[in-house]
Amino acid sequence: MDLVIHEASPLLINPAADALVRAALGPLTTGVSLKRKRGQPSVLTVHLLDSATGQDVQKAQTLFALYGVMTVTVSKAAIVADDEDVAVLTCNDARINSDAKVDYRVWTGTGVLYASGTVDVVAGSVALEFGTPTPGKYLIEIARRKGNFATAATVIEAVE
Amino acid sequence: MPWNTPETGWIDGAIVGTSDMNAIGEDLNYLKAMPFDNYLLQEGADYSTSSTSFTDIDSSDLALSVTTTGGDLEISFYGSFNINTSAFVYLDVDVDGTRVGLDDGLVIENLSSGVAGRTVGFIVRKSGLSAAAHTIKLQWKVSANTATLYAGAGTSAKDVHGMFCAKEV
Repeated sequence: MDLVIHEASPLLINPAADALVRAALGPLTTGVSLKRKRGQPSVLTVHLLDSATGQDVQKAQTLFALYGVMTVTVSKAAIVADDEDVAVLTCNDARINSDAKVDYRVWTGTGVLYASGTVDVVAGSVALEFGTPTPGKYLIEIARRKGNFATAATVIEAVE
Repeated sequence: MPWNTPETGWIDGAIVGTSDMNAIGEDLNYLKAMPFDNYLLQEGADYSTSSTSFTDIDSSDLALSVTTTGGDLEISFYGSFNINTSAFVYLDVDVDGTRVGLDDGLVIENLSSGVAGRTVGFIVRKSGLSAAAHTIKLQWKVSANTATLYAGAGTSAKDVHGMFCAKEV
């Protein structure tokens, strides 16, 4: 069955959505698709096996309902593409107050996973530095590892 | 305009009436404008999928409707693809809920990451259709990762417009 979701976040890219549903639903999903008509919101389709239950459908809907809802601030939206300049991302959200760590993922503009890992939550706040020698736009996600799923997402551009 | 089976049994001295001439005229009009439908991609964003099972690329726009008069359907497509990490993309056509290619579809393309704009095209003929309205959908799947079909969506240097067509033959 196909679960059609009107995308809440304009930042969502297909590989990031795919990573979310595969982590949450495992073999119950065969992937995701994205499309957008001119002048209309994006439509995300989650492809679920027919054996998926109502609970699985609800889980998939929840994933995207909470995509990008945590607040993230950046020290600058554009950095110089060298090994020196970095942007600092800060996520200070009540949802992660009691979390020890959160995941982060960095995607290139072409949807390639550029970097990923975990970062400590200190006093309910996360600080992440991002720098790169390669020009381009990068989607950076911060996601909870436990409890109710939630993410923060932003785009930083590295310019020559 | 219906298709009239042409009379081929004319004999010397046979009388040609109005209905005969009208039938010929209708057939000429039919041949000039065979039942067809097509869609040129001009979207707000490129299509993308990570689905490893066949799925509609766009169940509204890339879903053609042709009302045939008993003939076959000739279905064609061209489009340019990309992928984030090397993998295969497969294409098939669904006619009235049944894929024409079955198995792994009609065509396969080995997409390499970093090589944008790999173009795929095919023509396939679907026979055995009744004279009725038919729905033709373009479907795709990947072996892994995420494939993109450029859709005339303004992507820098890749703002190209694929096309999906179907006509009775």
